[in-house]
Amino acid sequence: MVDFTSANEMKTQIHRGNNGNVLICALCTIVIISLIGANVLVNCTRHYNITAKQLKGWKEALYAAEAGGDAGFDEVRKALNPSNLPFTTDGWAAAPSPAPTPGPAWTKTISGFGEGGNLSTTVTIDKLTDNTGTIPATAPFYRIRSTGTARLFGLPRVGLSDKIFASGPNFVANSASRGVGDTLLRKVDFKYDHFKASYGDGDGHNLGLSSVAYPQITRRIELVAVPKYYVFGGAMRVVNLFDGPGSAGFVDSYSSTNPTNPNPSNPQIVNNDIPGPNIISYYGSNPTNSTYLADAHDGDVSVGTKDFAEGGPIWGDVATNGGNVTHSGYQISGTIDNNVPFTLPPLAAPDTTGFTAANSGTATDTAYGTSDSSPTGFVYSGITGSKTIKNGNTSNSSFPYAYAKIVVNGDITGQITVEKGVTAEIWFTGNMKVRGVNLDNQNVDLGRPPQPGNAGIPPLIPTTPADDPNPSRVGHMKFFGISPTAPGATQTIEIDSPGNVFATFYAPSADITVVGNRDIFSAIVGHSFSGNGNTGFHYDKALNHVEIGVVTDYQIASYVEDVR
Amino acid sequence: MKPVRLQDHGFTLIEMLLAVAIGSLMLAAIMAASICLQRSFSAVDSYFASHVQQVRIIDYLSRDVRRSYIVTTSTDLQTVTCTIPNYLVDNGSNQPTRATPTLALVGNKVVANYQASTVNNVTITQGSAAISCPGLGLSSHFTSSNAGQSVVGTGIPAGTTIQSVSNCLLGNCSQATMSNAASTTNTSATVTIGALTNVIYSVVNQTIQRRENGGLTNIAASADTLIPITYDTELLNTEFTQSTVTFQPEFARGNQTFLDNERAGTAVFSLTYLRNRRRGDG
Repeated sequence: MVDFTSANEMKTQIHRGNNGNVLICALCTIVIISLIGANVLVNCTRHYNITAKQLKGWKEALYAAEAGGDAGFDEVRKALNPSNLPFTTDGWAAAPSPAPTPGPAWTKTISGFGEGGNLSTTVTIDKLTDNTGTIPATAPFYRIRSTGTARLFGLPRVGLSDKIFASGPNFVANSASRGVGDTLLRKVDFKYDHFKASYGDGDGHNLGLSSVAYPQITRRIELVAVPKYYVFGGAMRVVNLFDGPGSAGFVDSYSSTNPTNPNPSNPQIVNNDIPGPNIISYYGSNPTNSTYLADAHDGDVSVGTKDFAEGGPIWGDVATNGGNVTHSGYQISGTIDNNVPFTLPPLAAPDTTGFTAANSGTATDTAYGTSDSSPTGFVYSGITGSKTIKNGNTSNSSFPYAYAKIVVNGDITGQITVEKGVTAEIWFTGNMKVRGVNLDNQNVDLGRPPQPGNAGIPPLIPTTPADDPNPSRVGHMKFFGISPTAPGATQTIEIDSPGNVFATFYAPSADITVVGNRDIFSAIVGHSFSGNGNTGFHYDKALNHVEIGVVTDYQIASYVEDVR
Repeated sequence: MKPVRLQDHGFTLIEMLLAVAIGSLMLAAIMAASICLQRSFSAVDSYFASHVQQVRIIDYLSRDVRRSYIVTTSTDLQTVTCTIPNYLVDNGSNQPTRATPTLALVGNKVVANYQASTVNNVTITQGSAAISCPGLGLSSHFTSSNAGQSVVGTGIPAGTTIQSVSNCLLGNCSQATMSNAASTTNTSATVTIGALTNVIYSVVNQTIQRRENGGLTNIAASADTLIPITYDTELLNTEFTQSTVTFQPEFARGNQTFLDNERAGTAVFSLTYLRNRRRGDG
């Protein structure tokens, strides 16, 4: 029989959990490490948001602002064509008040572009006039203000304060110390637009608390677009292709205001100092006269594409857009830059109201105009015969110079003679095919900077005639190729033998060809240039300071970012 | 049957020592792992934090270079000086307004200035602080208000100001004295004078500092071991800078070559063009 007394009852094992201490310790350790790891992950995520999301928005906001600036600048360039009315279509509207003086101002908003439509830009253009005499008061310049906004994706808070009220540490409340680090730099707007709250429209107008739909970053830039009057800053500037001088040709420069230079009609050939098979130019280095060297190396060539070919040397700088031009592969004396994009807007026909009409045949016309802005005007149906432009002001004792503006509604294949003292602009709509001798420019280089004359005190002190304001012989015969308006239409300019040429060509749509072994004293702006004969192309540096009399384009003269 | 009452039995000393030894080893391993993990986490955290500092510094530098008139770098490539148009008008209310641009002709280029003026045909002589322009009758000359203002131009050291002007007639002056001597000679220089903004990036005790007109900007709160290098390149009609900022990761151990490689692996690079160097370009 089984005894169930206490002394003999069955002993069962008692589990006191003494092994649980280890389990708790292990769990605690895991929890601690997990907390540390979680904290690190949170920090890393925050940093990731800062570096990725915020940085992305920061950069994209600038892209958006610059896109707005480009759109604004493109609209400004429309003003070059009289048939265009800028700021009237494509979403442009009058800017809200207050507009600048004298104004007017226009604005346009482009939104919904970029990834997920997160970008938008608002551009405002103010029309201003210069009162310093730098450019004519009749020619406006434009201030382009562009705002680019990028919506921030991801976490709404990426380490910045969103306090914008008076008690907050950042932005409005304490504009003297607007936070640190990213707060100071990127200025994320989480709930409110800090700029509108602090600065209103930027000039203190219309201040107010303005909420934003999403966290966003905004950047603001300001561009100044000014008219271009000076376009001959180098020997050649072509949009499409440059096929330069042949192996015995070259491009160099001289200065018609330098009294020590020889007459360009009788150039002096001297040795130069760059290596290669062709070591001569008219105005290259001359051991006995360093001024030749100073003037000789500015025959700059700019090409708007990568298409650049050269046989003979170029004494100047070369710029291409994506080309592979190097000093080792080409004979170039100056700086090479293969990353210079540019475009040339088409050249519109000028207003010919009040001009005298004539046919294309042989005739002599007299110019009496006394400035580029008030020339004597003629309209020809073409030039097939011999046209002579006489100076009608030779008897003027103080200013014996005359200006003519000729518009040719057709081709130029005949002779053009420009008398001494006449500055002639010759605009043409068709093609031009002439020999060098057909372009008879009878002016001479001044050989020094022009000086104003003396009005004199009759009868004792006689009048001293003023110098011709244009010191360059070349600058007295200026051709302008009016861009064809018909779709697919082209324009050509061909200059054949014999005879040298003393004239400038501004024809942004024209393919220009020089045939034979010509000497061309000129500056060219065109669509393309081909002169692979043994052409000596000589750029007059004085053209760099001679207005061509028309606004050919606008250019960006300043770039600033509003960092508030 | 009598079941064994285990709790009634003690451990022998050997058992105890053995248990303590094993337990200590396990705890030590856990502690070591924890410390390593913590250090690793700290290093990762520090890496990301430094990376944020890097990016911010690069962004600041790029923004300032992009809007500069002139950028110069020191020979050790670690100090960058930016001369920036003074776009904002300080009206004393901590709410500055925008300045209106004025135009000037430099050669055949039209440039726009903000609260500054341009003087052409200035004669600068190497080693001399005196500069002059041709005559009072010309439209471009110094003015009596130029004294104390910044002056920039080729051959003029960064941070130079006009100390005084002389040979004046009706407020138009043909001579001026700068605070620094010119580094080159130029008889037809163009200088810009006015309220320009001067921003200097420099390394102070392994921290990159940004000073705007002398005032410190807190762009990197704890930027120790960050090192910037900036190359300034001038081309035909433009100028750009290439900047790199690196830092030393916490985990990096080893010889100098290894450390250099570790640092090189953290590089953040930026290439920025001076937008104002193309201004007025034909």
